[in-house]
Amino acid sequence: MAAHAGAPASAAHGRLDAAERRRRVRRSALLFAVIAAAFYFGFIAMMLVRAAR
Amino acid sequence: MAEHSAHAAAHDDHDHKPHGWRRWVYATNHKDIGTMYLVFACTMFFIGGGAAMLIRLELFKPGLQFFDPQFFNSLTTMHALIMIFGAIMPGWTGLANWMIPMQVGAPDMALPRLNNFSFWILPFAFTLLISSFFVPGGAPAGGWTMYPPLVLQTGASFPMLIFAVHLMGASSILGAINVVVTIMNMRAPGMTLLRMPLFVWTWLITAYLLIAVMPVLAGAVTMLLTDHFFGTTFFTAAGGGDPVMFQHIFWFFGHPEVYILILPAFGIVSEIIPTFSRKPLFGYETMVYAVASIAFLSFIVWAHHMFTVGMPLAAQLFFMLSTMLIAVPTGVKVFNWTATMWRGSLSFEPPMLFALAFLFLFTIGGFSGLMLAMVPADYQYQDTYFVVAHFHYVLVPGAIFAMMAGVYYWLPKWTGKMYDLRLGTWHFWLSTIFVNVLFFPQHFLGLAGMPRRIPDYAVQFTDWNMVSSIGAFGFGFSQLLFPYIIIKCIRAGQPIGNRAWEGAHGLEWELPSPPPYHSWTTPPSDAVIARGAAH
Repeated sequence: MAAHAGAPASAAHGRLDAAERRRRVRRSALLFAVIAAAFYFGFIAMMLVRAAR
Repeated sequence: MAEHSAHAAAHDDHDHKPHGWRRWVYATNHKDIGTMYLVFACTMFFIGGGAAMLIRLELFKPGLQFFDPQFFNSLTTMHALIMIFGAIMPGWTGLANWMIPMQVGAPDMALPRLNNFSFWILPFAFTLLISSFFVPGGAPAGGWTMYPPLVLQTGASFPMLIFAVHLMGASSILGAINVVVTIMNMRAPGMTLLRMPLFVWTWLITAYLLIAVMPVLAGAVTMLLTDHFFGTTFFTAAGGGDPVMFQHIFWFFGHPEVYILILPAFGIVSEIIPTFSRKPLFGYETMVYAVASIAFLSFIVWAHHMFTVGMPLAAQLFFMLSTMLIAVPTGVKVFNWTATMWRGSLSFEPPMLFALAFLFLFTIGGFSGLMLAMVPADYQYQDTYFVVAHFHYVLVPGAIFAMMAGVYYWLPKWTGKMYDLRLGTWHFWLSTIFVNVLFFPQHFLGLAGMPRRIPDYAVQFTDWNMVSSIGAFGFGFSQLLFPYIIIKCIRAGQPIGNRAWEGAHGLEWELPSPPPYHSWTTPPSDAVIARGAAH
């Protein structure tokens, strides 16, 4: 079974099934995106709060 | 039935490789994207290097020779931006793309389409940035640190700079998310965290740093943008803002950025030294903890870049001592690399030569960093060529040499061919001699008081500037050997087996050379993983 570009989906990878892995990949990618966004907006918000004082 | 099975087997071996321009524009394969990152980084290295040689050309003699001061300042600013964001960071991402899936036994990166997007942002970002040379007012000239209020005086290129920095940041964050998600979710069964190669470990920690600090830079430049165009005064004193606050935010990003540039180098050197010493890495786990400690400390040392703006004594002491503390885990690493070589069966092929040069010359950069960490001494060294010498020792024979070591180490794996080792050795010696001729005299210039970022200087600095410029031309031209060796290898190298280097361990060496377009579609067995994890 050859994996195709864009679909690194060999079900044997890890001891998880492919659907569960896809869910974990999606969840962890979103988590890190939220962390990055929090740093971006957090620093701007911090400056706004500082300016308002 | 048997015929069908045979056909299926043949079909399985087929690479399903797209052809023509579509292979690259629509690329989702980690090896193709890695190659594109590396080619891009190499191109930027030569463009940024060209700017550096123009800088050294102007500084060959005192007085204004070729450029007006504004253009000179644009050259220094663009040289830094191109080298940091265009050459070193994409270079590491290219190596990560190529190697991480192969080293953890994964078939590809976890998010291949995001991977494509991360790469293709970069050519647009740098076209935008470099084209700013041709707009009224010229390219940004306020330094790569973009300190207000100076940067707010930039002409038409200001929004181009800000947008380009946002794009580079977005590319880095997306790439970092991909790396973390791949390492956390795509490892083969049996590839536990403490079996991972050091290159994967250092990249995992680098990716966490990127996710934390690149948005901070993006936030800072967004506020610059609103200060410039929308009447806010985040950093404008006249409106109640604080320009020094920009420096705090910038260096909260900027110091971890230094480790983003150097941690993958630690990983590569930790792969190469055991291979060419024919010994396991000394203190694998302590190396992991040392890298993690360095990454943590990098968040609490930022103000050592700005001691002279004035800060309470307690803050000066805190930032001085926390900075000095970084020498402890760094010392652990240098000790472990040295101990790995101790009584090893050493051989000196180009990857090992570059790794050894890294070990000596990066340590020189580390020592001058310790000197700069001392507050009273820093008051003298601040904004002199001593600082320029320090960070160039960290980044050129540090990051760049390690990257070259990595390319020379894995090139036979990527191409299935061995390059010209004699030419590689020539490349090493020319680079090492000229890099010292280029940067070592800058310590003397700095200690004698020559300020940085100036196109003209007092006559007493002439001799060492001439020596430094000669070193720059020698170093710059000797780098032409690098693409020549790679192209010659691709076209006419001698075919090699799976394990290009006798002492090499790791999953990548279990694959054929060159590896199939889709590797590890069936995960490696525990036995193969155990054989690879030789530490």
